[in-house]
Amino acid sequence: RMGEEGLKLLTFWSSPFACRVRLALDLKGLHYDLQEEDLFNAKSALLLESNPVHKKIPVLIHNGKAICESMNIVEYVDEVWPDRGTGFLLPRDDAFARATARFWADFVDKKFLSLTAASFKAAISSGEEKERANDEMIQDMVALERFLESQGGVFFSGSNTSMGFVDIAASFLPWWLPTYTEIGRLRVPGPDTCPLLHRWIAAVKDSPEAKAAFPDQQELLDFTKVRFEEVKKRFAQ
Amino acid sequence: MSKGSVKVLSFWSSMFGLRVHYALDLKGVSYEYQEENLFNKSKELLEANPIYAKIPVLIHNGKPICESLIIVDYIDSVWPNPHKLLPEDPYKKAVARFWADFGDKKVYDAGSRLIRATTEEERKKASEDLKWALMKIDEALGTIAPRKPFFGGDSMNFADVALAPFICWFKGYQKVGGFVLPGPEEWPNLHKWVTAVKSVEAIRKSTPSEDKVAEFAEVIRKRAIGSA
Repeated sequence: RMGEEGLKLLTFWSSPFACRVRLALDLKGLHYDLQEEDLFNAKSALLLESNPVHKKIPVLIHNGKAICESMNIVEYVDEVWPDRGTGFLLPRDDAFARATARFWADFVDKKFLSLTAASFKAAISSGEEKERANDEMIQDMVALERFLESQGGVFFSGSNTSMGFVDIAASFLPWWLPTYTEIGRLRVPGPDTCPLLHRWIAAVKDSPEAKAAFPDQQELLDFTKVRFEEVKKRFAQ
Repeated sequence: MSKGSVKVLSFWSSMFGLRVHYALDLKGVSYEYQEENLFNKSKELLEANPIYAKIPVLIHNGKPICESLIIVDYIDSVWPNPHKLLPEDPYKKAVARFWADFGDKKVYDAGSRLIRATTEEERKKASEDLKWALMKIDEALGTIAPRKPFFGGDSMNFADVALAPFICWFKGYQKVGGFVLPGPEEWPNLHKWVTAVKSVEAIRKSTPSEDKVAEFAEVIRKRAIGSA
């Protein structure tokens, strides 16, 4: 099926970066071609041409031009199609609110999608080091809870019904948290300490767009279990 | 030009801090500057940036904005003229953001590892990574703005502001990490860019002396080795 204005997303089913871009595109109601990349065997010529610097997915191709880096893609989509679907993702008229949204999206990246994050360190380490890093990760989630509280709605956008920039940035968490607990053997804060975050998780999981964008939970768990052993070997001190 | 009170909390040699100075100075925005002692952070800094306790922080009309590229974006929104930093075209904007982010992920990361390397193996890898990253910038300048001095063409844009602070650290990378920048025969675009950036008055205003930065890089290395 021909993509809208030649929209194509180079993706990988279990990449949190790629899935959150899919979510943004779906929330905007955009039609696009999905090209699943075979990251472990051979990256496509299109991927290598479109992202020659990093050679990574996701890449959005629009009218023959490539946009890379997931939240960069989300900003691009928001700028080109501001009023489509659920409307704008970043606050429109308030520079400070925009800066705040970018800050918390960046926080999610630093704390949950980075190799220097406490969450990652906690997963691959053991003993006292693991517990200390796990405590730090819990503090990071409490910080998210506080921010969510300050926004006054179900979602980080402040709305009770529409997701925004920070929601999209964090949208992988409902599917990835079970991998932290079951495979990383990490503690995560429960609904008693982070009630709003748990309400948010339920709301995201309930969203038809999010369900379509993110992988089946069990498939993700099975895949992560295998990959985790390889990752641990590579990064353990 | 004033749109309320503007205060910058930063550290003289910080590349991230310099981005904020460059953005404000290019736009002619007046601001109060507060130098932070990173070993004895002010109460103001800890309150303004409770999550990371890091500089730079921009405080505008009492509200704090953190993370250098987010600050530059904010400055460009509030003071679009003169000297708009982000292109209007969404694709060109995305390209500028990509290279700004590249500065953090690849240039800063390699440079930081180079200075803090405790083994020859670490130093060599960091040096190779830094060389690769700067080579990519040289290539990008040729592709994005051929025959023009800046990523932004005739004037500096978001990507130029994000990357320009590394220039005053090259001497430090050489002194401490043995990193030698390939010459203009190899990297003509990068060298043209460096010359053009250094000629901008607003950039010269807050750029620290390269020798002082190199001395400071030496201090960082000694500390890194000392704690290894």
